[in-house]
Amino acid sequence: MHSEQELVQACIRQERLAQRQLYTQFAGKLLATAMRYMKNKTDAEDVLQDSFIKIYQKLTAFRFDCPLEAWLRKIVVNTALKALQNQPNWTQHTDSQLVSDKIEQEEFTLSGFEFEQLMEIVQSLPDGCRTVFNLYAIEGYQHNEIAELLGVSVGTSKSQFSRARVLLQAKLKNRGIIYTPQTSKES
Amino acid sequence: MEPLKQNNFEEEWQRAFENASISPSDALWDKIERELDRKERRPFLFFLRPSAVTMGLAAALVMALGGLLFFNKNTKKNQYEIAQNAVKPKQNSEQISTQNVPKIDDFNIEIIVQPQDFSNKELPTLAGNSRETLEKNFLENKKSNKAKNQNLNEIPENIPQSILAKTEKNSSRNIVQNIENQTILIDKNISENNNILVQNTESQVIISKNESNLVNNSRNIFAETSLLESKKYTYFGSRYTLNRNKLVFDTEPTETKIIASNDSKFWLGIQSGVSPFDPKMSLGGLNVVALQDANSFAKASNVQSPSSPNSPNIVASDMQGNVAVSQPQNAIKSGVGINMGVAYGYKISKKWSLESGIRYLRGNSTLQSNTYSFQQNGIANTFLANYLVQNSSRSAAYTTNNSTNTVVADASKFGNLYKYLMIPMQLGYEIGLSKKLGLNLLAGISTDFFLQNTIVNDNSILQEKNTIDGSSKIYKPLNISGLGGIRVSYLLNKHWQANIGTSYQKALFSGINSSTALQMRLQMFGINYGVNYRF
Repeated sequence: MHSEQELVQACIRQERLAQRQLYTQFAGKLLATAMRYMKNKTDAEDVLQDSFIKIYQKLTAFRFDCPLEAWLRKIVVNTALKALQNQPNWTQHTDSQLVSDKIEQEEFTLSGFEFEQLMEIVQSLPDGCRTVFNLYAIEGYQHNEIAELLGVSVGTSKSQFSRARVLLQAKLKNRGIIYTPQTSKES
Repeated sequence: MEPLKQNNFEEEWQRAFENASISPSDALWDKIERELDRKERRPFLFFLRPSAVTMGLAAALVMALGGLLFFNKNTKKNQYEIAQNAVKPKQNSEQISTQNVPKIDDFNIEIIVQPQDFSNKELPTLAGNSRETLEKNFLENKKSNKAKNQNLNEIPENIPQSILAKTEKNSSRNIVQNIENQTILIDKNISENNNILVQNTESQVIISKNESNLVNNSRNIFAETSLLESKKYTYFGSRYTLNRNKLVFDTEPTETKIIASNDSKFWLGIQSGVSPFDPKMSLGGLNVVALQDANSFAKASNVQSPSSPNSPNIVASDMQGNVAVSQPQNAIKSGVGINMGVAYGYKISKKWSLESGIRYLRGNSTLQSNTYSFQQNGIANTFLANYLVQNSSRSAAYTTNNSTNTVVADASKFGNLYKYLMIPMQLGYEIGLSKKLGLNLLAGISTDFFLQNTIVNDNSILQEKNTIDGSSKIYKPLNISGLGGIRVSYLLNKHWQANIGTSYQKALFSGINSSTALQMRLQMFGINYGVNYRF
């Protein structure tokens, strides 16, 4: 078993066994990441395939200044974004603006849900707000960064997130989650 | 039950997906492995690599010039062989001359006259005809054509029937055939005997005659040598033709007409070309700036440099006692340039012409860099791309700022795509190689309008694309290039002309504003081809 650094160096040397080990070690988590962005597992696996090709080619640029998994996940996210942006109706999904950016601050827990159920709920969101939700809520990007990444305005990013939030609340409510919505203004 | 937290929406979702894992299908690794194997093999478009393009161009040029010489030589050789064959009567004509009663049916004679043959005194005796008769007839003819007769002091003793035709009674000529510059005279009395038929083919005259009349009347058929216009030799070779093949016959008048069709004054054409594309970018002190930036960042970060200890580029000295920084590398290599456009030309004189037009050029190069700039928003870029983008949007020169953190890491390759619109203006000198083939020497200048430079990073951790357009402050919107080349043109028919050749182009001035450390002088040497419509 290689250490993480040895594994990366072996992958840079194009050693197939090391490449396989890297894949085995991270493919599951990375596929889960890709699936949050894509509509189904097939598309997510395509993204994962492209991501691993890029990973093996660009590992020389990895400087060990962050955890390897975070670096790999960033590549998967960017590859997924590229795949989404290449879809013909991508602009339509991201251009829609919500009139209000008021969001409901609610109290709730997701502990009662299975991971598969949550994935299904997220995947059921429209492309635009699903992407912004993933970037903002899960990856931790700010709205100005999301706007730059997706080539949209900050307002669009915020409104897409609001829409995602409303839709998710509705879907969770339909599945029996108990929460107490409180209306407030997002700063 | 754990109390619910307020405003914990993002946290809950983050926690839910934190350690999520889904097993990929078994076939996925196989697909990745196949893709890796495919990428390790030779690229499909290997011939588009600059070295391959250069070799291809050289081979094409050699083949074009070699073919030109070869065909030019063959043409002359054929004409030379015709001239040589002309002095040799065919075998059946020799039989006629040696037999007393030649059969006219055997008279399939190729009549090709060569003046010097008639001065040959050793020609065989004409069978069945007395020398006196021949001499008499010949002298009569000589008198009536005194003006033209200059070389008849000696009467050939024997003139082959195959090449001479004349009756003893009348010297007036009734048929003159001109076949491939060969003059054949046939006297009136032959036609009086109602027996002659002259068929003119491209290279032969076949005389059919009632043999009994010919024989019984003892009529001799010969051509008067003095009336045969002596053949002129003309220098028709070129500098590329071997000396022994340079002397050939005049061209026929009909050929002159074909050449004349090439005398059109104007032409419009579609042209394209491919060449290695070398931006010839001089980086000046860029690497020094990069190193300063990297050192500043290393000092501020106060962490161990991520560079591999095995790297040959490690600088042993520790700049601030904290970290070591590798030497920056920013190397730019040639790519492939493809141009296409329209051309129009005007023939100033018989040899000189002026040609202009408009071309769209798209060329790429490769940047090999180990220097990256990380911005505060988390987006990374190559140092050179960052430098270009910053200078393209600001009037001031590049300075280190807080939003840029430069590190020197492992080297990677990145794509660089340039787009230009060019208006060339060239003076041409034409060297005619044959009636349809010409060699053009071209020289002039090109006005180059910069359209766009796109830096493509095929790497997910870097910003994937930077585009710098013509309104930027880093690239000059307008530049001038010098042009030169050789072009072979072939006239397909009266109006259409195909051409192929090589051309060299180099920017006379730097295409980058002098406020930066960079300089760029675009250079291309490649092959051009196209078709012209002449009118």
